[in-house]
Amino acid sequence: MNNKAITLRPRLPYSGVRRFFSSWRQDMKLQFRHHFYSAYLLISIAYIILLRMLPDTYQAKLNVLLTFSDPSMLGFFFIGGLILLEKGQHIHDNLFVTPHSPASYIWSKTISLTCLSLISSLFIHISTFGIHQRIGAFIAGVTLTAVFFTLVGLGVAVRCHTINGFFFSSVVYSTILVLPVLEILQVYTSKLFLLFPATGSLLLLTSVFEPISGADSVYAVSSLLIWIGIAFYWAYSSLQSNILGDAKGGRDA
Amino acid sequence: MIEVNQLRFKYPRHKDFTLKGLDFHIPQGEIFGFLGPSGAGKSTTQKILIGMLKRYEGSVRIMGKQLKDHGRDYYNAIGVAFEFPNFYSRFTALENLDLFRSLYDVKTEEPKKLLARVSLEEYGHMKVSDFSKGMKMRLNLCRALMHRPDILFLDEPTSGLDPVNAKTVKDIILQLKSLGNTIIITTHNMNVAEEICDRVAFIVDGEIRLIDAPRALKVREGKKAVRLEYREGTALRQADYQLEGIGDNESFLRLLRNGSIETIHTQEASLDQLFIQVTGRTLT
Ligand SMILES: Nc1ncnc2c1ncn2[C@@H]1O[C@H](COP(=O)(O)OP(=O)(O)OP(=O)(O)O)[C@@H](O)[C@H]1O
Ligand SMILES: [Mg+2]
Repeated sequence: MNNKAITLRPRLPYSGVRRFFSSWRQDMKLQFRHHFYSAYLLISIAYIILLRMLPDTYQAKLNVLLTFSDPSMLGFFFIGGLILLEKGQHIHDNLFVTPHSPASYIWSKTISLTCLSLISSLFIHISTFGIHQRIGAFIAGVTLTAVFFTLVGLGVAVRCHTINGFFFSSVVYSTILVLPVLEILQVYTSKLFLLFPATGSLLLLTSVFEPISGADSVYAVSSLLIWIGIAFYWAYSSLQSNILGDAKGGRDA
Repeated sequence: MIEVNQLRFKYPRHKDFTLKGLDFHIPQGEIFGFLGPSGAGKSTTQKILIGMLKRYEGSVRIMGKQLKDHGRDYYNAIGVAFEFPNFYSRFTALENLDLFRSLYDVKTEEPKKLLARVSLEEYGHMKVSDFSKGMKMRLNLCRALMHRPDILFLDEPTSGLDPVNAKTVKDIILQLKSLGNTIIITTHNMNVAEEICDRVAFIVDGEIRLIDAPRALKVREGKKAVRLEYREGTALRQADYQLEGIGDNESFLRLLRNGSIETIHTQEASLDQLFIQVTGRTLT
């Protein structure tokens, strides 16, 4: 019998970082191949036409709602589609018998979709309102919103087995999460809305048109950051128990 | 390389244990086969060894360390080919290998070279959705090999392959063994087991009934006799002779000299028969 000693082979330098960037690149390629980019382009054009058709008085408010819906709802559904697509192709078993870490998996998916959201939102916004001084607040609002909702969508999707199951769950989750929209529509107001992540998002996006106080900005950004922390933790443990077979000793095939 | 003691495992919503206390040791450089009927627990055992099912009972030591203490770096040292070859179907074969390759921390093989080893070099730019089952199986093997793992886990590596490709796969496995790699194969296929495994374990209902080298088993359990088929006029006849003292057996020698012999076979047991004998179950 051959007695090759188990030589610990050298690991390539900066493996974790390199893996993260290459899986980001691969995620973008996958999204491109599955026509996510064309879908975003069509949706953006539809949004722009909608905004053009509306009288000036409504434009600001509608723009806030539309730019809110882009990173939040689209992020949520697109990540769902992406995860279920990988589930349908039974790819996860193979991905996770490599050194690829669950955290790296989550962030590369989240960030790649956030970039897509950001590009499409900026495209819509600039083509309607041009470049202005408060574009920074706009970028912050869109990015934080996209990251949060994409993480939630990921957590929901890894728990679902079918597209229908995902749509059903998403109605429940998204309705709860976007409740503060009622306040913008002046249908209903409540102090409790301050606890919702969407309040922070809407505040930041509104600030593009009517300045908000420093305290409000701090509140909006920190509330979103905290929510992102919670959403990541939840997505991570959902992935661990539903895809990596950790929590309850395995999973149903 | 792999030391498993009293391994028990139960799926979450199951009443009974799927694995009921397995013991086996696999030294480095061995090709070890798990044989058993459907539902015996072969794939479950493999999933535990590759760290996919974590809530097991008992001890699993791999490369000198409890499996539970291995981090994700473990996956740089093992290669896995699952029973069903799944890929990103809208990516080509090379794009898939490129993707999985980028997830490792160690040096990997050139994907084109790997494809050539399993005669897929012309299909590198074809989408995997257009691959046949046999082509996907070979691509699956490439993916498991590309980071030159020390331990290789193969679930039904030759299923869906024609004889030529099955031979290619077997040759690759033997070559890896000659390089000192350890290979664990799960299969229903007795021929694969007989041809390449150093030792096999018969597994039924989550228990190991027997572990030994295929050849030793066949010789020990089989009849020590030889069967001849020959022509007498137009009639086909057969005769059995004990191996012991066969050189002095006049009737046998006369047949050898004068008869028109068509076949000669020693009567060692086939693994199939043995399996039935030991477990009371058929393999399929
Ligand atoms: N994910 C799962 N959840 C619950 N039970 C499972 C799961 N996977 C397998 N089982 C059960 O565990 C038992 C052993 O299954 P396993 O897949 O290990 O068998 P096997 O020996 O690999 O069979 P085959 O030869 O058909 O591949 C079966 O009774 C099966 O129903
Ligand atoms: Mg199996």
